[in-house]
Amino acid sequence: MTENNNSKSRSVAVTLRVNGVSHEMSVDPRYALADVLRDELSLTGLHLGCEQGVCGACMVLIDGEPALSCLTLAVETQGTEIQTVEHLSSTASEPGPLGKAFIKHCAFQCGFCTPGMLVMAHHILDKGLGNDRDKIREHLSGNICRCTGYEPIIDAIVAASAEWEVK
Amino acid sequence: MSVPASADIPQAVGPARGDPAESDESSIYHSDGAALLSGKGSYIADVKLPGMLEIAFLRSPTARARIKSISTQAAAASEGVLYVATGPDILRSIPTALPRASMVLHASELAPEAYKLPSYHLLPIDAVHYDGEAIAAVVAKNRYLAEDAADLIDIEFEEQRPVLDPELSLSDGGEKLFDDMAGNMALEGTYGSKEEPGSLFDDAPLRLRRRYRMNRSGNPPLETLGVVARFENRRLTVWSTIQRPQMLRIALADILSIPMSRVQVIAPQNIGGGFGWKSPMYRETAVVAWLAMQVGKPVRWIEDRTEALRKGIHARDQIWDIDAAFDSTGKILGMKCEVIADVGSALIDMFAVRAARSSCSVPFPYDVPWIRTHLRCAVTNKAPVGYNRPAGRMPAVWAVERLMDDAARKLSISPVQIRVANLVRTFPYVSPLGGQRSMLNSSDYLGTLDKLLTMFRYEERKGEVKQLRATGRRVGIGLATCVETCRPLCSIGGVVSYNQPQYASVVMRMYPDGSLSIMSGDAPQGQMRHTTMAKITAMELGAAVNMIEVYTGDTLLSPITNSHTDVTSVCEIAARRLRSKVIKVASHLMSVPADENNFHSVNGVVTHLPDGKSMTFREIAWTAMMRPFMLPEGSVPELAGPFVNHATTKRRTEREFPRRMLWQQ
Repeated sequence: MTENNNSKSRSVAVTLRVNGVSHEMSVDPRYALADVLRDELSLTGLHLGCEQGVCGACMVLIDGEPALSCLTLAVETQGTEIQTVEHLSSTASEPGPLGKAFIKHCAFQCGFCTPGMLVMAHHILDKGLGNDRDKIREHLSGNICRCTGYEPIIDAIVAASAEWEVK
Repeated sequence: MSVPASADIPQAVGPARGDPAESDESSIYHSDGAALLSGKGSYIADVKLPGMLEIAFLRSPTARARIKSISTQAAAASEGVLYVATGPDILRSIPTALPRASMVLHASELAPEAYKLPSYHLLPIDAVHYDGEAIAAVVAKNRYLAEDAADLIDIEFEEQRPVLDPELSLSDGGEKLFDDMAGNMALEGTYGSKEEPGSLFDDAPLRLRRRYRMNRSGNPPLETLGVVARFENRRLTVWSTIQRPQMLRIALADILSIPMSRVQVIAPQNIGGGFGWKSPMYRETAVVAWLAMQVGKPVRWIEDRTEALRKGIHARDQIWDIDAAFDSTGKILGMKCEVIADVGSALIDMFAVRAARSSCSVPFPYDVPWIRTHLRCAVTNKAPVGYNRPAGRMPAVWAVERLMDDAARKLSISPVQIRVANLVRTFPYVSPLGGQRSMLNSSDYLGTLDKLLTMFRYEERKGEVKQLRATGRRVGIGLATCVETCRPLCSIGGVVSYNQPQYASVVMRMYPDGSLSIMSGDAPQGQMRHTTMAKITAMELGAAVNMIEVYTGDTLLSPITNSHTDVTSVCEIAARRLRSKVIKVASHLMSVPADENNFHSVNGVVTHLPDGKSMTFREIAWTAMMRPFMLPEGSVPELAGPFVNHATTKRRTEREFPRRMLWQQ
C-alpha cells in the first residue's frame, strides 16, 4: 500500500477482489466498502438503509462470511474475496432457485432490503441451515424488512433449501 | 375494405397472428421482480449523472433557538466544496414565504381561515423550531467532503426553552412559537353530533372519563429520502423519492418560479417503501433543486438514517380525553372527545393537520348514537407530523379500543362481548361523525369478528396466554377494530385538505406492433403496482401481458393524477376505452358493424364472433398508425389516450369550492 498525504482526502492504493475480478484502485482510507462498491464499481445491488450496521441491506460476503459493507472500510478488504448480490444471483431474466422461491412466496415488496436478505439467505443455505426455521430467524435477525414481514422470507429460504447444494 | 393480408405487414415486428402469447400469470410478476432479485433495481441512490456533486445538510442541534449569526467561510474554503447555502442566501432569490398555495392547494382555497399555518422559508432565516431542521446546505465533490465542510459552519444560537408539551403550547401561558402565527393552534375543528346530548351522559348506567395518550412515532421506510436535480438549458429535472411526482412538480415550479412546462419530476422505477413518509414536499427537495440551478451541475442529496429519524415526518402524538356513556349491557350511548394533536413544527404542506383531522372525523365501526370530537392541533418544537401509515387513524382507534376494554372491565363483560354489543349491524350506517359523506355502506362486522376469533383460536389462545404469563412471559391478547377509509372517503378528505386533484388518470399507448405502454404519474413504493396495472389492463383489453410495459413516476410521460389506490383501478377504465378504439378500427377493416358485444379479445387477438373473423392487435395497430389511409377519412392515427376516472366527489366539490382560483398567495 502506498499513501498519498498531500491533501486532506488521502488516497491509498488497494486491490479489491470483487465477484472474482481484481480492481486496482486508489481509495480514501475512510471510505466505506459500501460506497466504493456502489459509487466506484457501480455495484448498486447493495443498499444503504442505515449506514450504522443495523438494517443489513448493505450485506455482502467477505471470504464467504456475511459482512456489513457500511461498517467495513474498503482498505480493510485488501486480500479478501468479496461477493455481492449481483454475483450470487443468476441473470436478471432467469432467477436461480432462491430468486424463484422469493417470487413464489412473495418474499419481497419494495425490494430495498432484498439484496441483504438474499446474501444472508445464500449463507444460510450454504451452511445447510435452510430447513431450520429457528436458525433462519436467528441469522436474519440483522436484516430489517419494513414492508413484507419475515415469514414469507423464511418460507422462501426453506423452499429453496430443498434443491440447494450445501457447501 | 378487406382484411389486409399478413404479407402487407413486415413480419419482423411484433408477434404474428396466432403466436402463442405468454399468458402464464407468474411471468409478469417475474419480470417485475427479476431486477429486484438480482441487485438491478433502480432506486434514487442508483441515479448517476456525469459530474454529479453531493449535498450535505447541516441540521439544528437544538429544538428552539434564535440564529444570531451563521459563518460559512471556513466551510466554503474546505476541500472539494463548491457552494454553501443558508436561509438568507436563498431568500435573495426566493423571497416569498412557504407554504405556498400550490402546496396546500385545496385547503387554502376552501377554508383558508380555518388553517393557521406558520410561514417558513426553504432554510430558516433567523430561528430554528425543531431538532434536525436543516439550516445550511453544502455542495461538494462527494458526500464525505460535504459532511466535513458542514461541520465547519459556525452558528451562534440564542437557545430558547423548547415547548414539547402540546397542552402547554395551547395553554393561556403558552409561548408563541412562530412570529407570524396568532397563538399555537394550527387547526381547531368540531366534528360529529350537532344537537346537544341533554341528560344522556348524566343518566347513563355507566359513565367513564378516561385520558388515552398515544405517543409520537415514526414509521419510516427502509430507503431514506433522496433527491437528484439537474438544471440544463433552462429545464429542471428532479429525481425524487416522492410518492406524488405530479404534485411535487406543481410545487417546485411554483416555488422556484419556473413554468411547469420546464420542470420534470421523475420518481425512480423503484422506491424503497413509502408509507406516507415520501408524500410531502420536503423543504430539502426544493433546496436541492435550487442548488442545481446555482451551481450549474447535477447535484444529489441522499438522506442518512439519522437525518431521517430526526426530521420526520413523525406520526400519532395525540391526547384523547373521552367522556363516555354506556348502558348496563355495554352498549355505548354517547362519546365526547377532547383531542389535542401535537402536529410538530414548521408544517410540511397540509400533511400534519390533515392526519390529525382524519383521526377525529372518520367514523368507527361502532354504533355510537351521539358522538362529538373537538380537535385542537398544537404547534410545538418537535419535527413535523404527517400522513404516516396508518394515515391518521391510529390514535383514535387506540383511544376507542382502550375505552371499550375499560368499559368491559367495569361491567364485568368480555372484550368480545362489548364489541359485539357495539359493532354496526345495519347498513348503510350513517355516523354522526362524518355524516353522509362517510357512510358505512355495506359490510358484516359481526361476521368478520367471528371469523377472526375462529381463525385466531381466540379462546384457546387465552388459555395459552395464562400459561405463558405463569412462566413470567409478558404476553397478552387484545382486540381492536378499525374502519379503513376507502377511495371515496379519501377523495373527500383529499379534496378539502390537501393537494390532490381527485381523479386518477393514466396514458395508455398502443404501438404499431400491438404492444402497449401504460404511463402513470403514480410512483409505486413496493406495492407491485406495475404488476397490478399490467394484469388489469391485459385482462380488460384482451392483451398479452408480456406485451405491456408500465412506466411510472415521470411527469413528462404521464398525466396529472392522484397518487392513490385508484391509479391502478383507472387502468380498468382505460383498457376498456382503448378496447373500444381497437374494435372500431378492427370492425372497419373486417367490414362488420362496430358492435362491441360481438367482439372477443384475448391475448392480443380480436375475434368477431358472428363470423369468426379475427385480427391481431399488431395488424390493427399497424394499420391504424402506419396505414391510416385504410381508415375512414378524419381518423386519428393513434390508439392511445389519457383516460380518466372522474372525481367521485365532483358534485360536492362543485358545491363547496369557490369559483375563483386562489393560485398565488
